[in-house]
Amino acid sequence: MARDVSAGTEVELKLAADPETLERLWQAPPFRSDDAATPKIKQLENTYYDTADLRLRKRGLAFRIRRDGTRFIQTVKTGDDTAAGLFSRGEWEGEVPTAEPQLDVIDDPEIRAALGLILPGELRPIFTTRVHREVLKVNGTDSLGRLKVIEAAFDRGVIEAAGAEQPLSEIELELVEGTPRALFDLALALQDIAPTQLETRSKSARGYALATGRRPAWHTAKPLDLKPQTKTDNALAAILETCLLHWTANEAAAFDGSDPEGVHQLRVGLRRFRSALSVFRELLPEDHYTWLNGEARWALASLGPARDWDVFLAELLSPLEKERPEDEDLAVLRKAAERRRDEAYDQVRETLSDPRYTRFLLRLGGWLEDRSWHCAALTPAQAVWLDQPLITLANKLLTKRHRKTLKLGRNFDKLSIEKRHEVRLAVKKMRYTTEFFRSLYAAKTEKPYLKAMRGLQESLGHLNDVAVAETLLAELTGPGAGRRPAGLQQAAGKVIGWYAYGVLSFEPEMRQNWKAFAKTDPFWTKKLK
Amino acid sequence: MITILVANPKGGCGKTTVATHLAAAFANSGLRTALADVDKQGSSLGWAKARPEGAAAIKAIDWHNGAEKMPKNVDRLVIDLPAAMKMGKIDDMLRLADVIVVPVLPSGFDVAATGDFLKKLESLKPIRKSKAAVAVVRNRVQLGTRSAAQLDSFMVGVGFKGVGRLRHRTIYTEVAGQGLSIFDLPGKQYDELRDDWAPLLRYIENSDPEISVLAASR
Repeated sequence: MARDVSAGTEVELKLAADPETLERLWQAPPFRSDDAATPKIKQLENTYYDTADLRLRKRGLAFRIRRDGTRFIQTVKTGDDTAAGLFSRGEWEGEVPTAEPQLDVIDDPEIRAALGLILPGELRPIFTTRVHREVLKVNGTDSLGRLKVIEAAFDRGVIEAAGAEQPLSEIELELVEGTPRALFDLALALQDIAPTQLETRSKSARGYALATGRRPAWHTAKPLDLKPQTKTDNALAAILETCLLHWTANEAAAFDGSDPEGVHQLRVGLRRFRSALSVFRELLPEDHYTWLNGEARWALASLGPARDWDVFLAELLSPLEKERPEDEDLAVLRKAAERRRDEAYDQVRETLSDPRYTRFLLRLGGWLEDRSWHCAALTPAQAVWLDQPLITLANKLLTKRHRKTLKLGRNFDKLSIEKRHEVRLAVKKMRYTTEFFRSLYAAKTEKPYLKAMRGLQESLGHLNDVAVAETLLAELTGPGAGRRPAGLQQAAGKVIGWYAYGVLSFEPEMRQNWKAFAKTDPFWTKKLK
Repeated sequence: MITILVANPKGGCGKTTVATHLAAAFANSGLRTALADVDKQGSSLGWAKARPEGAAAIKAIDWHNGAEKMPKNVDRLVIDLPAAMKMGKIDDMLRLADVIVVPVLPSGFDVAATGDFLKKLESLKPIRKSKAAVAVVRNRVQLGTRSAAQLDSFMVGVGFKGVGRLRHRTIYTEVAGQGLSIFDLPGKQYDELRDDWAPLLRYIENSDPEISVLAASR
């Protein structure tokens, strides 16, 4: 997310909604004020070009030629990759004589370098967007009284590729003057009039998806580049933003649902976000923490069942099916579990389309842009902490969480399953904390600790999967589950029995993993112990 | 930046022709290009010096004492390795490379020597920068001859991906003396010859470390 509107960088937000909603918003007060200029109407035809092996796409570029009446405008956008940024992209633009791509006219060496080698005639049309665009300018001030000018483009049309067609209906809010906060404020104001969804994919990303017929891809988190001397305030902003980008980049894949990794990564992003909040909790105004944590927890909980059923089917039921290929009871169970999973994915789609979710993203986006935690509620002590180099906080927190984990795991061999779940949660927190801060320390010194922690987390995670499976199976077979087909109870019993024994036989390894972790030296300090 | 290493311990297989042509293809495409010559004989350097004014610029680098500092503001770096080079010395160069281009001639003699070299490359995989891709390109091919067919079966045998073939034409020697390449020549006359290079160029472009970073995040 760019902090200011500088040359070559666009700051924009896209809101998707059906054409009727667009119509309602078009009539809404923000666009009907006296200073709002008369709308401009344009018919836009954009053709996107790429090589046959889609190298521009692989490089995160979009190359398009726009037909504007009798003129042709060639545009190259960089960073056109969902995970690269939510709201801003670099670009080069210039007029060309025909609809044929012209590489020679691109005078920016960095953009030219980004394109790489293109052989003569190698660029060919991949897809075309045809849009009826109505543009309004919104002048005024944002919620803090700062001047703003926003251009709102109402787009209706289609994306065409390889004989397929997809409707397109969205509002693009582009910042002409002012702070990015103004965009979020306007988007939130529109939300009160009619619900829309934050569209994080560019038109080109959707075009490529249509042209290639590929399912939306999932994404892992972008690595953080924090230095020991990074101001805590900047680190806080960078960490939370990385989490936000991580989970929003996985919305499309989660919505699609064909790869379990989509929902999984989305949840990992949200969970890391909550972890980050807890890391920085003492440095934030309490009501800010409560709000952000509450919304993230709500989203996580709504997406939980989909992940639980995915894990159950792939990691618990599948191995058992392999051992007992002829078992008809297991087939009955699979059918029932798959139905539950499908329902859970309906819930995923509902959540991502929920106005509450959009509102959360918009408020969070504005909050991050403005670093709104610097408000009247911030105490002087918190302000001092935020001004410190990150390493101070990192050392303190790592020590605190390390000690807590050791304390919870004392007498590990004798701990009940419930107590071990507490250890599991502590280890998980520790894991995320080390992930946020790992770039502050020498990678070599971290290795043994991270390895021991991963081993422990894996065995404890298995314990949890089995516990979740028991809950899911109870739900499937218990009272209120409706009609229970013959064989379902038997299958549930087999699964539970199988893994109860599995956990038993796994016990020595888990104890071993705990022992290995407990005696591994921390990497952030020598003094501990 | 993509760093391309043109290597084969077998002499006379056209390393300099391949290196200079790759550099010229990049330069003509508007990319900031450098050509580093590791060979004491300096054939690539000589070629770059003979390059006429007005031809797409190529920065010539003398590395005959080994790789010195990496050039700045360069999009494509082509490194021309000498034939006689100890495997140990090649290591340093392998560490730099994103792509290793191995030209091979269709003679039985060449094929055997190249096979040994490819086996060594395979064993050195761990030291190669991000497991740099290896592209074997058949050079000076007379289409339809028996040796061309032999080469085809060799390519399948070694398990490395063959990336295109370059036809045998005298124009290559004609332009070499003037510091030029077929990519510098105007007109459609050489379009067919230029097409020979397309698979190799595409392969190199797809080996861009930036592409793999993006692809890994998907």
